[in-house]
Amino acid sequence: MTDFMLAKDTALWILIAFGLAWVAWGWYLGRNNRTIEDYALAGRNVGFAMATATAMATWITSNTTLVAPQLTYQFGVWGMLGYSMAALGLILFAPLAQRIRTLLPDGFTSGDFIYRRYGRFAWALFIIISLCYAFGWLVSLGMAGGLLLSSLSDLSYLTGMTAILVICVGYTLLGGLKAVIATDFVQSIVIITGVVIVAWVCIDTVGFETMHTTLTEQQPALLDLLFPAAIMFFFNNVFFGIGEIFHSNVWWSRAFAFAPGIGKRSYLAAGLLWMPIPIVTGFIALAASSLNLIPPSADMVGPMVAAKLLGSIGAVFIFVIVFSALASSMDSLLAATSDLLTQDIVKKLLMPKAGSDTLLKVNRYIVIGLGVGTWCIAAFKLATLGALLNFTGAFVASTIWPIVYGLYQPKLTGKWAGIAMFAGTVSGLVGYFVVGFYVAAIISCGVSLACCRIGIWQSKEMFHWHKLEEKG
Amino acid sequence: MFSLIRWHAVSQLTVLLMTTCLISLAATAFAATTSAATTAEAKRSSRDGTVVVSWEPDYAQFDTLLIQSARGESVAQYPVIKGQNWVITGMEDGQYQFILTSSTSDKTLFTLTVEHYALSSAFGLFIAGLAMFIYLIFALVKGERRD
Repeated sequence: MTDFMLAKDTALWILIAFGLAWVAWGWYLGRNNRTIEDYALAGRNVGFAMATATAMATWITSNTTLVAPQLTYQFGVWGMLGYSMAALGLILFAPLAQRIRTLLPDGFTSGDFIYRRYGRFAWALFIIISLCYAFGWLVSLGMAGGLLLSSLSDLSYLTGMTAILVICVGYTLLGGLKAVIATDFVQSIVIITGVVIVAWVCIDTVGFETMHTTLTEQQPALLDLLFPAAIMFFFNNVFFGIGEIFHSNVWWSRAFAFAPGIGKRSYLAAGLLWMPIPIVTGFIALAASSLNLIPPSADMVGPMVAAKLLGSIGAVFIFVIVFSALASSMDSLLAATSDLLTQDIVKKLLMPKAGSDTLLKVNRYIVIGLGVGTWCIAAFKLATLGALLNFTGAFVASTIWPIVYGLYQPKLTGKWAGIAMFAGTVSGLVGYFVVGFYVAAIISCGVSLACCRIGIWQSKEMFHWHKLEEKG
Repeated sequence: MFSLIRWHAVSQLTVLLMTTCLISLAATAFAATTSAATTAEAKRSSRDGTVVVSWEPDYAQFDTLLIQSARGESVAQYPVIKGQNWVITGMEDGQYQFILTSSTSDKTLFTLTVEHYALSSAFGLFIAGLAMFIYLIFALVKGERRD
């Protein structure tokens, strides 16, 4: 145990206090949920402030607080800037959110759109990609919970991972999307305040000059603007972020839940507010060598530096910030993935005649099932967070062009949308294993674009947008 | 009509640029894989300046991990913490020796050769990404206007 670690009892008390507070609040917010629309889409009437906060808080995740420092530690200045470009996903989704709400006024999930626009073949591939991503992200969040506790306290990886899952499943189960959005609002305030304080202390304690001198001597490539792997990583992360947002039901369910006219403004505002946050969280990783810290795993560098800077009280502080970041993403993902499974698998394939009450029950069982499934996979701790997350980049980046063309280009058919997603994913995975995690998304996106363009070039069909309003 | 021709020209140019860059990257990656396959365990290599030194129980008798350049100069040194790996990043092209030291003995772990990817491959991918990003913006703006 190092000098900045929390004692086992302190860590446990924080977990219990947080857990009880969030679950009780979730129950309070969800006590009036009567229908599947109340539970899954918060009544389709979320206002601008809540909409912006939930979009921003969901995008501030374990990735922002753990992976942004990891990528800065591996790729230096490019890693920090590249990560902040993930904000472009939110910004570019703003016009799409508006169009989605207009074209599908009764839509529930991203799968609904793909099914109505492209038919069953592309829909089946899209659902597989969406679920691979959702599980990848859920497992990475569970792993982050475990890593956080094991790096900041004397508790084990399994305890931390179990705690974050139980708490998030608890309040999502009781409160639905209303609880997710309300807790995200508070969590976003905690996170932003926290990261600003940590960065301030870092500059004040270590100083730019010391950091620069140490980096020049020990890790010179981190300051090199011609760092090849980091240059490769830059646009890879841009397309990974765009792919994550464009395809994921986390963001589509919000586009359906926000009141008419709110989606475009709130996604734009959330993206602009989010952009500087990874720069702040990533920056502190550059102080690691000045503090003579060497992380046992690259994704632990952020919490280690912060806890070292702020001492034992700081460890509590960091614990709360990262825990909030993890919870704000995990709850959204649990809610959105359970909606996707309920609407796209259960309702479309297994129980087409099921009513609102039955679907509400099924949705809740699925939330529990997702929690249990995530625990089983995260227990193995197969990869670092950055590597695991970027593995899913090969899947999600292949969906960017089928989504964009699906919304704006009437000539792309379901067959070619499916081929684009399949070929993009396969080539992205080849890039991941042959070159590295920093090229998977960009290769996948490029191959998918080429397939879509071939499909449009040889297509003689024209899709009529009003077909999207017909029930699937 | 002119805008239709221009639209197709932009998309075809983007696809062509993407394909060229991806093929050149694939060739580089293939070359890198074949050369890495011949590397022995005592000699390790890295293409991105990152190396992970995994913990072994017999490392507990040492107190410092020393990294030396090919000329024998000390580049960095880190404490040995029982049970913990070391993740070292940001290394420039060159050869480095990883040595565990204590007041009584030394142990050379391995020699690391850092050879970063060629800048031409990296910029190829960067330009492909930039072209595709500009084309994405173009497609979204065009879609919005048509909408």
